[in-house]
Formats: sequence, C-alpha cells, structure tokens
Amino acid sequence: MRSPDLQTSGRRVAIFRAFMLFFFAALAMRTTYLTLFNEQAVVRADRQILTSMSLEAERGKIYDRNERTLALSIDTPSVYALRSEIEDTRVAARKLAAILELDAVALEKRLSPEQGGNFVYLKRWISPEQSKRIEALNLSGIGIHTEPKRSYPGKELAAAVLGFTNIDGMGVRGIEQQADRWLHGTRRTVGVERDGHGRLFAVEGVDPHTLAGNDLMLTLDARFQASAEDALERALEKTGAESGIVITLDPRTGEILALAERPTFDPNQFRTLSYPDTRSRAFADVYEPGSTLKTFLVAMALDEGTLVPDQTFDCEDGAFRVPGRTIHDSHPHQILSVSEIIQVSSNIGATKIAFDLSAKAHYKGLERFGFASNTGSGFPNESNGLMRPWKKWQPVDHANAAFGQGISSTAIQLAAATAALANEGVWVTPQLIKARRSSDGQWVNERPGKKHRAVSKESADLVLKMMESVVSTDGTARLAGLKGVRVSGKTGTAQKYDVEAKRYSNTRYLAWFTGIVPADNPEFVVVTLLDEPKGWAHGGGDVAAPLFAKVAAEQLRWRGIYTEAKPKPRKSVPQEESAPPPVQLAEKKTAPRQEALKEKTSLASVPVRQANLTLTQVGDRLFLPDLRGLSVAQVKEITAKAELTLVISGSGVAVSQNPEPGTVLANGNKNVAVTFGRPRREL
Amino acid sequence: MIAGGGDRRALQYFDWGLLAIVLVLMGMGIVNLISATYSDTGISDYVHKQMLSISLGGLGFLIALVIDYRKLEALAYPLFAATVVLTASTLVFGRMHQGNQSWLNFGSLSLQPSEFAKIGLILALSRYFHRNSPSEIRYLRNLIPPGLLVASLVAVIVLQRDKGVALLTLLISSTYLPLMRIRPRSWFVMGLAAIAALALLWFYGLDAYQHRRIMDFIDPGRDPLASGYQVNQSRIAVGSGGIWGKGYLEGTQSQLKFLPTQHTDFIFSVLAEEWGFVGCGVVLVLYVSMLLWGLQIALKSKERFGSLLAIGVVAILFWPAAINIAMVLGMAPVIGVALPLFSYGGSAMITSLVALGLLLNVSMRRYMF
Repeated sequence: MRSPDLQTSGRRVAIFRAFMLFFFAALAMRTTYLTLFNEQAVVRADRQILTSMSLEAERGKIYDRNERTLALSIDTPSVYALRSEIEDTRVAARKLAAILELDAVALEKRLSPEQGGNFVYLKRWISPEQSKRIEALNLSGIGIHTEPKRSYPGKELAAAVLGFTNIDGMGVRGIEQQADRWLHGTRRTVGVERDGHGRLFAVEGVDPHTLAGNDLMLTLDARFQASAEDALERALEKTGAESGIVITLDPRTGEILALAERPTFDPNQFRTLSYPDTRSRAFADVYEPGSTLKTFLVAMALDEGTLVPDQTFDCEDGAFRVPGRTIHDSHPHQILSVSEIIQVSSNIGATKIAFDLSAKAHYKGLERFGFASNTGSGFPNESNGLMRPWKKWQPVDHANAAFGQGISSTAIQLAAATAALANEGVWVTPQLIKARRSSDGQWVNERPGKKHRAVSKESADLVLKMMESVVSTDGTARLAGLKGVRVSGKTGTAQKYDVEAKRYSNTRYLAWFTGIVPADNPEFVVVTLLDEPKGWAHGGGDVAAPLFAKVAAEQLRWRGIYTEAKPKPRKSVPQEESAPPPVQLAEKKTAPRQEALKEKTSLASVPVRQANLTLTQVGDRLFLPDLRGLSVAQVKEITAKAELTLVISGSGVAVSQNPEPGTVLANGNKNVAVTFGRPRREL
Repeated sequence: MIAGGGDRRALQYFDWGLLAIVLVLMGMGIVNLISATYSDTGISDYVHKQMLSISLGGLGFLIALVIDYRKLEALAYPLFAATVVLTASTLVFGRMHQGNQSWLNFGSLSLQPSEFAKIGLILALSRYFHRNSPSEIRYLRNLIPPGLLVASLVAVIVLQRDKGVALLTLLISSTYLPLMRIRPRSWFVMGLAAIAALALLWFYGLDAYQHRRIMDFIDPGRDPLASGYQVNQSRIAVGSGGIWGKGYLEGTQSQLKFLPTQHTDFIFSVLAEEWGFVGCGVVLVLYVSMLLWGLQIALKSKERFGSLLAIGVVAILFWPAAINIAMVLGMAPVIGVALPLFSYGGSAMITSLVALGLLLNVSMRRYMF
C-alpha cells in the first residue's frame, strides 16, 4: 500500500513531469524551427565554408628561339606557422631552428601568439631535405607550403636580358619585368573550402598547377648567346676592359639573336645583388658612339644629295680648324675619297661632309637612324640617348656630331642604326620577344616591330660597300676580317668624358665595332663594345674588331657558313697569292668546339644541333659554304640537297668555286661552278 | 545479500525496455562521437577512450544494479561525505583544465569527482527526505540540514571554479523541493533569496567571459566572431541540417571544425547537422522516453527512498540534457554542461551509467515488499 505521503508525492511528481515535457517540447519546437525553417543558416554555412580565392597561374616559361628553357618556375617548399595552433613555442622553435639554421630565441619570438596575425612564413624556399625533416617532426601549427620559385638554369646566361622576379614572383628586371603580365597569366577565381581554423582546401577538380601562365619565346639563340658571352669574357680578360657588350641582330627583322653583357650576375641569386648591378647596360647605359656615326653621316649625305659617291675631300694634312676647335686625324691625310674617309676614319673628311649637309638635315638624319629616342623595344628602363637639338649646334658641335662626340646613345640604338644600313636603309625596331604561347594555345609570332625608312636603298648599299674597305688591309679594322666571308664594318674609339676634369680623357676609351656579315647579303649585325680597355691596344680596331670577328665567325658557322677569324695582313707584309689551305670535313673540325661550348655554357641539357657541312637555306636565300678541298662526290652530296645547278670542271679536289665561299645565292640563282684539280700545298 | 532470495524475482522484473533505450542512445552517441572527432587519420583516440569509459561505466552500472538499493540508504551519508572529500581533494591535487580545477589525474586517466558527487548527493537527499516525511518539511528551518549538505558540495565546486557543475548541483537538489509540502510563504522567501543570490552572482560572482556569454545569449549578433562565435556556429550547424541532415561524416560545420568543443559541449550540433530534423527528433524522443520511464519507476516504487532515488536519477539526467540542448539551440547561455550519454567524457559517462543502474535497481525491486 502506498502511504498518503507517496500519493501526494505522485501528484507532485506529475508537476515535475509536466515541467520536463514542457521543456522538451520547447526544445523540439526550437529544433524544428532551426532545422526546417531556417534557410538562412544553410546560406551562412555555405558562405563561410565556400569562399572564392583567386589562384595565381604558374608563371610561364621563357624560352630561346629554339625552345630551350631559359626561365621556369619550380615548386619550392616554404615553412609557415599558424601561431594559434602551436602547442609549445619553445620546443617548436628549438626543433625548427636546428633544421632551418635560424636563431632559436628569435624564432620563438616569431612563433609567439602575441605577434600580430596567425599566419607567418618562418623561412621561404627551403631545401627539399629540410622540408622532409620538418614534416617528420609533425609539429602542430607548423606546415609546409610549396610556392613557385623562379629558376634560371643558364645562371649567368643572358642574365641582364632575362632579369628576374622578386620573392613574390613579380618581374622586376629585364624581360621578366617587360612581359610580367603575360608571364604571370590571368588569375582565376575558383571556389575553395575553408575550415574553422581558416585553412583553405581547393575544391576537388581544381588543381592550381593546371593554371599555367603564358610562355614566352625570345628572339635570342642560346647558342649564339653562349658563344658571344664566352668571347666577350675572354676579350675582357685580354684587354682589361671594365665592361663590355656584344649585340647580334638580324637586320631584316630586328630580332636580337644574342645580347651579351659583362659583368653579369646570376639571377637565381637576386637577393644578394644590388639592384643597379642587374641593369642591362645595352639598354640602360649611354655611351658616345664615336666614329661609328660616320657611316650614318655618309649615308644621309648621299641621300640628301649633298655628297656624291666619287667626291673627294682635302683632309688638310691632319689638322683642320673650325670655329672653337682644331680637328685632328689620327694619321695625316691629303686627298681622300668618301670611301677612304670611312676606311681610315678621317675626322676632317667627316666634318667636311657634315658641313656640306645642314645641321638640321644632319640632326634629322640621325633621328631617322633612331638616335635621341629609345628604340621602342619595350625593354624596361631603356634610355633615349642624348643629342642636343640642332638649333643649338655651334659649328664645333656640328663637327663633333660627324664623328660621334657630344652625342650619346645606347648600344642597342647603335645596333639598330647599323642594322638599318644592312637592311637596305630601313630601320626596324629591335625585338627580344619572338612569340607568345598562352597556356592552352600554340605559339603565336610577335607582330614585327615598327619600321621606317632611314635612307634610300641605294645610299645604304653604297655605304655598306664602303664599309667593306674598313676591314681591308688599309682599313682601321683589318682584325675584323673573316676567311671567305665579306665583312662590312666601322670602328669607333671614343674618349670617355672625364666628369671631374670636365674634359675628354686621354687614357680612358670606349672601343666600338659595328659589323655587318656577310656584306653581300647581310645576315647579322654585330656590335661590340669594350669599355676602358687597358694598354696600348685600346682602339675599336684593336680590341672591338677581333671580338667581332670571333663572335661573327662562330655565329655564321651555325648558319652553315664556315669561316674563321682571319685578320688581313698588314699593308707592309707582302700579299700572298695563295688560296686558303684545303678545308677538312667540317664535322671533324667543328665537333670539338661544339663540345667545348657545351661545357662552357652550362646548358648541358640543351641539345646543340649537330653541325655539318650542309647548305643552309633561309627562305629563298642560300649560303654557299667553302667547298674547296672536298672531293667531287662530297661536293655533289652537299649540293644535291639544295638542287644546285652544279658545273664541274677538272678532277681531284675542289680548288676554286664561283661564286666565292660565303656568298649568298638569292632570287633563284642556283648556278655554282666548281673547279677541281690537284690541291695546292699549304703554305 | 547480493544474491538474496528475492533477487531471482528481481531479475524477472528487470526493465529491459529502459535498458534498450539507454543502449540505443549510447550507440548513437558513439556513432556521433566518431563523426565529431573524425580526422584524416580516421577514428580518433577520443572514441577509444569513450569506449573504455562505457566499459567502466558498465561495471559501475552492474554494481549499482546488484546491490539492493535499500542497503545503500544506510551508506548514503558516508558515501556522500566520501564524494565531497574526493571532490575537495582536487583543490589540493587537481590540475587546471579549461579554466576549471575539477580534475584528478591518475596517469593518463583524469577524473572529475564532482560528477560522482551527484550520486552521493541524490543518495543523501533521498535518505534525508525519506526519514523526514514531506508533511514534516513545511518550514524553511526543515530545509536547513539538507541545505547545508548541498551547500557543502556546491561550495567545493565553486572553489573549483566550475560554475556549470555548481548550477547543475543546485538544480538537481532543487528538484526535490516541489515534492515537499513547503508553505507558500516559504516559497516566497526562497524566491526572493534566489533572486538576491542571482543578483550577487551577476555583479560579483561571474567572470567577464561569463557575462559576455550571457549577453551573447540575449543578443547573438553582438560579436559574431569572438565571444558569440560558438553560439553562431552551433546555430548554423543545426540550421543547415534540414530534414534528413547532410549525411554521416558529411557535415561541413563539424568536419571542417567550425564548431567549438564539438565532441563535448556542442556534440548535439554535430548530430543536428548530419542527421537533421529526423535525427534530432529521434534523440529527443528517446531522451524523453527514458526520463518519463524513470519518473514512472519513481511512481511505481512502493517505497519512498526508492521513489526519491529514482527522481534523483531522472534529475541527474534531465537537467544537463535540457540545458545542453537548449544551449546548443541558442535558447540558453553557453554553460559548460555536457550531454549525458552523448558527450565525450569519462566521469560523466560513468556517473550516468551508475545512476541508471540505481534506477533499474529501484525498478526491479519494486515488488519486493
């Protein structure tokens, strides 16, 4: 039996039960409301989890014209910390410091949650081995994140042209800066999931690495570049010059095939370099071009009609007074033809030609050749050069302009101007970018640079011919001679202006050579500069010309034109009538050099096209190699590929050929006559 | 005594239905805990530890079941005293954990004795109110002895800075009050005293963060990223569940760790997100069924100590469940109260199972008079 107490308790228990049921009913209603009638929560859940993030495309690669990689991005680990998730900052700091070679105390401070912000990079771009060891520690709040690091496999190769990106992947020098937007690619916005700790997860199916940036193909040829840099390096060692530049241009397109600069740097190490040291001297620095300007003067004077090709000038026996200055020639001359003025680089002759031309026409002519304004190549920090307005020219200024004093230009301006002479008088904007390829597409050629006529074809061709005499035995640049290939060129030796003494220095010089090969059908324009060569041999003809010869010979070889630097003998030495010694088969001769080059350029991964003695055909033009010394069968074999009309006479080995070796056959002319006979003895 | 003559009969009256409800709830609890603590490496250590707690709790459940509960009445005060002393020992030997010094460490095992003290408390209060019939307890002075019992325990818990458990202890104790015939005037005085106590608590007893939590409860949008973060995330989790939920292990709020303390205090929001309205409904119905079943046992017991003990067990389960779910649903301020049989936590699990053992003990011995 229940006690009365229990029965009353029963009623009171019912009160508690009612309260309980009421409470749970309220919970049930609330649950119903929240789960079924609370659309906003779904939106809010999605909104905080799904966030959009702009993913950077992987920066595009930079190639040379033969698709050799010059710059690429490599995923490199970086170690970061989420400060709020670190359990023991002291332990974490001690362990990490040992691996990262950092100071443990400083690291602990950086890990401390009191520092602002949760996320912090501890060290960027660590080695894969360090990354592995850190991951093995399995510390909470410490993570490894891979981010792309720009890598330049060629190291110093074309460093000033390529430039580099800063630590955040932004192009800040050279092509990297010029084409930054293209290489960078377009950001893509993708949905990503975010967790409660703020970490991000890419939504399935989107891999940031598939978002490749756009690639760039440069006009540079890595082989040309490597050989030019190598030659420049040796020239610097030999002459003691402080710096130097070699530029090779294709005069028809303005494409820069090689742009070597010394001193150089390793863009991989950009963090240790001073910013000014990483400039491209060819684009940024201005120099007085010296006598190289005489060629343009003659061309424009011929064009204007103030000069006729067979005109002669009295060169005043080496001293000519103009108001404000007496002009001297390096050697006294009396009567010189226009060609001879160029050949011996007479300042007096040039001054007289300039005076026949008005100051205005002289100035405008130089402007047409691209002086006084940058070339428009788009390369960052390109200088304009300096040229005073013609209206302010005194006679002495006018005279100075004739032989390149008081005017300054960049090396690239001078190369472009020289190219105009080689390109039938048409000036073309120098180009470094050959083609572009978007992440999903094909290579698309860059639009050709702007061009304009500087002088008429006739004037340009005439000057080109005159410039051949410079490389003759009587010229200032006999050291620029090439065996079997005609060379046009002009030397320049500019005294450097001494800012402190406010006058031109007698000990510090700029040695220039502007060359065009082959002269009869220009393939390359090569401009060489040595800044402050030491010693008695400091002139353009002494130091810049042989550098030209070396570079040009090497580059012609890759175009199938076999030649070598061969200085013309001095005038005093009796001329030898003999033909050049028989040429051995080119494979044998060039192979070791190729090997040597491979090693030097540290581009071992990059294949070097096997050179052989074939005819090189570019468009409808054909380079004729030196066939002398070859057997009839060999000559037939070589010429068969190009469907030459071969006229053979005699037997034995080839002793002479018509046209001459190094000649360019154009306009469908395919007639080649080869005479065979007994080989002449080598002298 | 344990295997007394009536025990075979007791087995006959064993309450299988209640046990079934408890087992289903615990099973769902484990399944839910797996999800709440799931990581890339799979099932976490929490789950294994919880299984160990359930095993220990099962042992406690059996002990609480087989000893005739009437024998426990004689031991009620010593047991209560023992649990209070154990709880107080944390003040000397205990370690701080999440702002509370309510834990005792035994190697890798840490215990929260204030949980076990709840069992001692309901035993002691049941004994007191059994020996002093409701009709005798009409005046406030009659409540002084049990009041002192409760106060001694609450004082220790407050010293541990565990205000959530202190509140629970008070609520469990107060469950007994309506069962007494207290005069309306005494109710009025107690009401005034409670209001005064709350006012004092608000101005002197609560920490700044506790103020913030209560303010956040009143206005959750006040500071959604800092102090209001938990409530907001929990509401989002529950709200985004829909009818059927997002699916097991598919909850974005829980799996992406937006939910705070999702394996302990906010375990219900994991359930709500992944199982939706249906899952919540099933769990709520199971809870209510279990609690009503317990009250039914209290009513059916022919003996007052058993009846009071049963009500105490219901109170031990009801209050934390109700407050926890209300908190998760944003109906109550954030108080550190775990959901019985669901939340991760060994001491609470063992306590719940021992309490349920006592309940079934009362139930199966109801015909032994």
